[in-house]
Amino acid sequence: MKKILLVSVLLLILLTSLSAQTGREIMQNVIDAQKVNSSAMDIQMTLVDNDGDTSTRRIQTLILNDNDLTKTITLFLEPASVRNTRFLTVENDGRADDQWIFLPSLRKVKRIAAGEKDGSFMGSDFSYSDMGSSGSSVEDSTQTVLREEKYNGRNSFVVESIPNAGTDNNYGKYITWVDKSSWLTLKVEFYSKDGKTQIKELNSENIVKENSHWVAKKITMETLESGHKTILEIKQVKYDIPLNPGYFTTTFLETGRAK
Amino acid sequence: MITILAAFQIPKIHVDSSTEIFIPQDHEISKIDREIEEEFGAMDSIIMGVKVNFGTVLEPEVLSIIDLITKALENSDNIKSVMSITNMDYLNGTTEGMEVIPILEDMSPGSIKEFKKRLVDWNDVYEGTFISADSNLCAIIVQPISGYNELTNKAVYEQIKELAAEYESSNLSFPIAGLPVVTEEISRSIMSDLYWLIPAAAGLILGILFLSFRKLEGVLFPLLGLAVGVVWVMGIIGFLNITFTMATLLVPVLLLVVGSAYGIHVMSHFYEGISQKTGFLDYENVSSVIGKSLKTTVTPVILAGLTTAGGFLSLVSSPLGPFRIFGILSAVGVICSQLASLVLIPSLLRLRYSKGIDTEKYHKIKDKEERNKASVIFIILEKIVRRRKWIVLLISIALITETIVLIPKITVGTDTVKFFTPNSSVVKDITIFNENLSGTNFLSVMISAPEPGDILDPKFLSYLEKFENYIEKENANVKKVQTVVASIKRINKLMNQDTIPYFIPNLEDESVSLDFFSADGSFGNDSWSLEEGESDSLAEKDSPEAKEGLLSYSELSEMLLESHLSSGNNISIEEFISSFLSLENFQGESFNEIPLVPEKYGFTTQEELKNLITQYLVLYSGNLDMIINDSLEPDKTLITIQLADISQKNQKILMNNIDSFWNNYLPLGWSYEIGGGATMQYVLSNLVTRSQIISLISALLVVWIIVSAMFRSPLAGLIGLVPVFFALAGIFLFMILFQFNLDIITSLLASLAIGIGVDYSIHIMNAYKRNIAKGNADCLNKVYRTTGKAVFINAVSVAVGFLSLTISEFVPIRQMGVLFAVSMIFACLASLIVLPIILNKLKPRFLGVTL
Repeated sequence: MKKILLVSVLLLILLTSLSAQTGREIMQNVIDAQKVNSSAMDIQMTLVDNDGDTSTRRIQTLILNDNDLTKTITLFLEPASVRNTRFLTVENDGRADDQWIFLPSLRKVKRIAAGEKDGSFMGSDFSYSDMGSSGSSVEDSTQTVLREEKYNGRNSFVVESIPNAGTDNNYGKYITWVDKSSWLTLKVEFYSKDGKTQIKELNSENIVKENSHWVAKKITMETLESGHKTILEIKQVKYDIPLNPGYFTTTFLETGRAK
Repeated sequence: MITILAAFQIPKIHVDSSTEIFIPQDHEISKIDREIEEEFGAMDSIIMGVKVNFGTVLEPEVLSIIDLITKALENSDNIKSVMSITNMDYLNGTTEGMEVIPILEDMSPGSIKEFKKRLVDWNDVYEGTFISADSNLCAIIVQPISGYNELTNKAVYEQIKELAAEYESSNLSFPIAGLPVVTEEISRSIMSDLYWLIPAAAGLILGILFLSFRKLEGVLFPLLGLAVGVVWVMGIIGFLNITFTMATLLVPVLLLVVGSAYGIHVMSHFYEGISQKTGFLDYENVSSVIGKSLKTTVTPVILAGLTTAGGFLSLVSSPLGPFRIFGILSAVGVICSQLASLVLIPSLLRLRYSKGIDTEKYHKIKDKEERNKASVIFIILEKIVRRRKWIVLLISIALITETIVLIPKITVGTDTVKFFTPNSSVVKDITIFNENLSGTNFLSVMISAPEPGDILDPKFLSYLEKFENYIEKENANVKKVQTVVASIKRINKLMNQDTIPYFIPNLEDESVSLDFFSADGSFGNDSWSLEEGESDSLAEKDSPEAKEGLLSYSELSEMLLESHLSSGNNISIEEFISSFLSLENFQGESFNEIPLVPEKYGFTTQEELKNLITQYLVLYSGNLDMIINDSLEPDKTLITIQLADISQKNQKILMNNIDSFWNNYLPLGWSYEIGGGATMQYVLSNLVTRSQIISLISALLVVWIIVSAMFRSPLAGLIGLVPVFFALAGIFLFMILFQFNLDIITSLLASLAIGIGVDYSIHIMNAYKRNIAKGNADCLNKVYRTTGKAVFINAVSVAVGFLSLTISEFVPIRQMGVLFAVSMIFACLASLIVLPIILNKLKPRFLGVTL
């Protein structure tokens, strides 16, 4: 009897210590798991409207992490009308990102600044801020572990994040299902600014390990009101590969050649 | 028991105050609007105005309030988007490119100064929609989330009203407009009308009953019968989940007024029966009097009810759903009131006089005196019928001809705003928006292209710009046309500030087509090595720098002349300045256009221009989802036309202009559809006219058949319709005289007037027949004294009852009350004057061979 009691107490201590992992720690793990020195991705986006009609966009991105600040090159491949449009974002410490765009038809590089982060990315259900992994910090919101449960056959934490007052955020609340083994997000529910109505839902599938990094190769974002959804498929991905910094220059944007 | 059960169903009644409910779901316009909503989101916005009495809305303190309200609404439930002058985007040109920035960055004096400049700089987007030309009024446009409509609209509207109350001051007022507001106000008024109209009608009928019988039960019993009838119908509405519309609102009042006649008949026959007896009557004798009086009343009451119900039922031929329901409900209601009068009143009388009755109380000289007074009217009427018949006939023919000639002058239109009185806040607020901004009525044109991306075809975009100019110029009621053109022109201008028109690029510099993952290198293999030390610098421009420095006097005058010559004589100062600036591409001014000439941009084909425009959208597409259906390859675009007034006449001209323009300019495979609130009202007005014609003809037909069958003669049917024609003439003449619109309410009237008005003919013709059968050929006097009097009282009581509608909050319902009263008086007078003249003249065989 004593033995059983002891085992139970031990088990209890063990369980509490496990669940003692705070919401903040979990979300920090999610961010850390996505940190890479560099990456190259070939992405296809399929936009599906509520009638089932689809249109396709294809982009490739190169990301270089330079002293914890990221530089991103986005190259547009489809539709044909925007082929060769190139986009460079350079993250700055303590001030807004620098952004340049090269429009092939204009044959010129232009510096741009888009004030609106909630604008749609290429007409998809992802906003520019949904797409940007940079700048997201656990400091900006308050996280609570709601429960632990199996989601799509994976053990997961369900974490609620509420952006702190004064932080600039498009949503009032997020509920994230975090996979315990890979620290990838399996599902995210995005709520309106008042935190009451769910606006969008993200679901991750095809979770695989590439170059010792976990990645979800298919991510679906659905806007609930319109029924419009975007399926983002990572066709190819490379992590921690050597990347020529010459890519992340306006010279590359303009000439397509990294010196 | 049934009544109690029915009463429990009443709270289930669901009110829908929109006018859309009148339009069949499978109607083309409903389909178009659903399609537009699917592609571009809900179109109905609530517009909150911020109006200053002194100064402008651009003063810092007013701007702060606008900003606070905008933010409060942005952060609230049920709201999809909020747009105001403080949170709009501005496309700003910079030395190196362009930026999308908030038009007002903060409340510092510097930012406000900059903000004012930006408003002027892109005023074709801001002015009229968001701010008035004199800066006295600005609009905060609030789009509620779609899907839950009524409740969300109400919640959003309430919240806006609260905000308005919070910030209201001697200098600041907050007019509120938009279709959801009008709909909500109609809903509120329907409930308030329900609350007041029924008691008012009941009160008037109570007065009439009291004047007729001067006895408690004479008032109470018929009223109880009516109440039961009304409760049954309301119960049916609740039980069958029938939506309560502006049309159904009239059913209870109509039943009270029309149904009161049946109760009056039953009660008056009972009193007449009693007054013919003497001494004390025990229960059995009372019972037999009740039985006898019932026997004489059953047939005329049922026949009158049948024609009335028939007239109402003819509304099922209307193309408008709520009218059909109204027709069925009121017909069922009439039958219910009849049953209640014929069953309930006799039972109540038996209960009341279960201990017998003293007949002495019913023999009063006073009655005789009253009879004499009333008969004076009939003596006059008799003189007219006997001595002035030709004059009467001439006047009648003139009246009917005049009506037929004038009918086209009746204005058709269901402008929901006109449902409210000019003094109501709804109308006052809308007037403020119509006078200072571009109006609160919206018409949408959706253009569909055959292939994805075709909408960005430069040629089409140039037609779109032409369309804007054409529609604004040709239609006085159009205040503003919004299309994707303004944004594309703006980006084109900003991105080409350093471009030299017609500069031929060095094609060798063209960059290669890139694919990081292609087989020829990059990431297909892992042969990459990290290379060091590339400088991150902005490359030199391909094109030469734009000309800088001061112009000489001769250069300046040469440019002024050139600009004057190229732009013609009839241009405004703005156009001239723009033309002048574009000569030297000052701030990209010569690119403030839809790119149309490939050579100007260093291209050779239109396709290349289209690609250029598509690439612009990579920059800005997220903000255009209410105008184009795809951010890069749209195949649909929405044109929004803001209207100051939606009179049927102007709407028709506008629709014709839209049709003729696009039929001319759209190539094969392209199509356009016209929708939006203003179109909905236009379509509704056309449906109302059609409904009026169809239901009028079918009501006349139904009534003609019933009367013909009753007298077994088609001629009888025709003669019986004469007073009905007078009722209709009365309605239409008054509509023309007092400029009442033929709308979703007033158009119900004709069929109702036919159904009720024909009763008087039936009563008079029946009385003639009865008297002739008794051998009394010259029976006019007799008919007048008995049936004539009853018809007169009946008509007066119905007319007075309908006048209760004049306390309604809705203008058309008030008008309907007046028109109803007029039509009853016309029908009654025609039955008492014209009908006897015709019967005396024609001596038709259906009245009896001896005539």
